[in-house]
Amino acid sequence: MNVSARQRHFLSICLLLLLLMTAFAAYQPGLAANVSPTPPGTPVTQQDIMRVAATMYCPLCVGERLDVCEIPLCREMKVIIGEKLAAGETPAQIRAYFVNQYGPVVLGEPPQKGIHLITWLLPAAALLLIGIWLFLRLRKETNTPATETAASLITNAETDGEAEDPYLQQVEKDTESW
Amino acid sequence: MNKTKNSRRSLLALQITAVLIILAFLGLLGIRLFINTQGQRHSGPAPDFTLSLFDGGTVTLSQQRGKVVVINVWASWCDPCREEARTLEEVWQQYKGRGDVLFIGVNWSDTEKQARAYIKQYGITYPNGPDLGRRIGTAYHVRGVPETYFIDKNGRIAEVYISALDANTLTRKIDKLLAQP
Repeated sequence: MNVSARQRHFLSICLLLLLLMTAFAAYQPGLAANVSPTPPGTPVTQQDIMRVAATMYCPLCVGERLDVCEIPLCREMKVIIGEKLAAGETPAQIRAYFVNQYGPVVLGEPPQKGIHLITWLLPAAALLLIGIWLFLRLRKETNTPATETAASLITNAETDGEAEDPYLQQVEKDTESW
Repeated sequence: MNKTKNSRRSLLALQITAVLIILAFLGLLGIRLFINTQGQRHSGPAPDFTLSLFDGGTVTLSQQRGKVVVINVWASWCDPCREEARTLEEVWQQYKGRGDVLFIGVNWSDTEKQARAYIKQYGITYPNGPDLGRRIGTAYHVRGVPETYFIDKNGRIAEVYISALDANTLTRKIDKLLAQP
């Protein structure tokens, strides 16, 4: 393996790691749930409460979603969600209320300010890097015609084979006199 | 030849960037791990805060210099907090007339309705308010409840007590701090 191939191999490992880290960092189940507000006058059902609760996390547990959390605080939070939905508040307003009460931990994602911005920018930077690498790689592949590469490989193999194999050299020498 | 050199250079630049991003990511994980494993603040200057009280008004820690301040972090769902609630109020009644001791109740990770019911149930009269956004909890590295921070007259954390307090322990700690200059 020459230096360039080794470098490429190393870069591939780095990029694979970045891809895994990006997938890990980008995993935000809370973001996936885009809940629409309950129309005014509609009675609030348990399902409505759970839909909003599913977009938040328990402030005391580690990574436990509010809809599946059963500790007293989570139960109280779900009661408050029901009260707020009945009062006509939107899920976004309810989430903002809980962020004010318990901090951004209820959203299950880092705040988009200060040092926490790094956690948002890193995956984007990693994706950009992977994009650049793919672009350079594809451009290089398309700039090298396949037929030319194949032909040069065959020629090289033939030349190398003739030069190195003593048996073939002997056969050629013997058959030359015929 | 030049083309190969340029290609190698861009490959090297990509490698360096990739390594830097990986290091930054690992650094962030390390910082988070460090923060998570840190214990309660038990010494040094007490982080300042202004607490909005349940019954209106505010209390600011930095304005209490010259007083011994007992900051009790509690929640209505916490059983040990309920064990010490009456004791805290009784001891507060003993000291509140002196003017050089202040009790502050910080309601942590709770709901307002439950917190108000708790205050009413135990007849708590010292200033109490919710730790909105858990800012005080974060500043003091609160890990759970109950936690009681003893702040000396110079605004420094003298001690942190992590459990339900009994009257003897509480008065002994306050008297010790009152005896200090």
